[in-house]
Amino acid sequence: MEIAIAGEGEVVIRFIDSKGRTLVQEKLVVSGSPTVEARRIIALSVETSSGGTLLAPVLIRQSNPKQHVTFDRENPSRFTRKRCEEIGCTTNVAAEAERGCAAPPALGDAAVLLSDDPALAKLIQTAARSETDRNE
Amino acid sequence: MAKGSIMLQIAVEQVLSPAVTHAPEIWTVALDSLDGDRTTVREIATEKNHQFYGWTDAEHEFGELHFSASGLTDLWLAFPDLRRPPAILHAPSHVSSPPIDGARLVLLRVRDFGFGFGPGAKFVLGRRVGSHAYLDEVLPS
Repeated sequence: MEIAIAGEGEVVIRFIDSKGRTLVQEKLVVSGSPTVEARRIIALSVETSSGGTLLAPVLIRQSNPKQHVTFDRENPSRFTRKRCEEIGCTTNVAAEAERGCAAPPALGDAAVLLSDDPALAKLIQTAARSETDRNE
Repeated sequence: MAKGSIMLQIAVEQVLSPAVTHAPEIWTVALDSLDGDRTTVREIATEKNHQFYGWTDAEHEFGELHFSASGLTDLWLAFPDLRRPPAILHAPSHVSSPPIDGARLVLLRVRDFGFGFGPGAKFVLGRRVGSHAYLDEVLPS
């Protein structure tokens, strides 16, 4: 699948199996001029301990609402819905995925721990509010 | 009209569930248009962080593992005449390239290997690969 991004910003995409479990999570960060674009090619299947597993991509978060993201040239939520149906997701899993909801990758016997990105967003919001208050 | 100084950056962060036995390759590109004037690439750089923990069942054991400390990054300058091969420059480079005339598209490509293990092995993986390039586009004198 081709993920196409037009414009700067950060996107988080989770790749779920038919049961709604996230097996792969990717964050793509692009910056440059206002005309910058990016492409990410990734297979919609992955090998697991129980064999080949089909995946559906879910667009979880975008830092810049003006940034334009497509999955194989389609609107992400439409693509997600279609792909969920193809791989046999339940109605509930497909509906959640279409709304951009999927849990982070499960923690097993070991885990990769990541920083708390929402905390960064909160910090920026607080700083922006203080700046606005100062200017009023 | 030359675009002047241009920055191009892209990063990928990949985290896998322990259920996954094959890590997908990282292959991603940032691109931007140029005006076809004179381009000099001032810097291309890449950085990678990598965290891996693997284990096996009682009947198997991991071989010796080595992971590269860096991803592979190259920068392509492409021309409207498709018979003219693209100019390809590799990271890291912290000195200016020779001036290149006529490029209309710049592509910054970042790659890191996919890999996998057979039955009996499990692993968790987190990796980040990020690259940037700085270019100057000026009118030829």
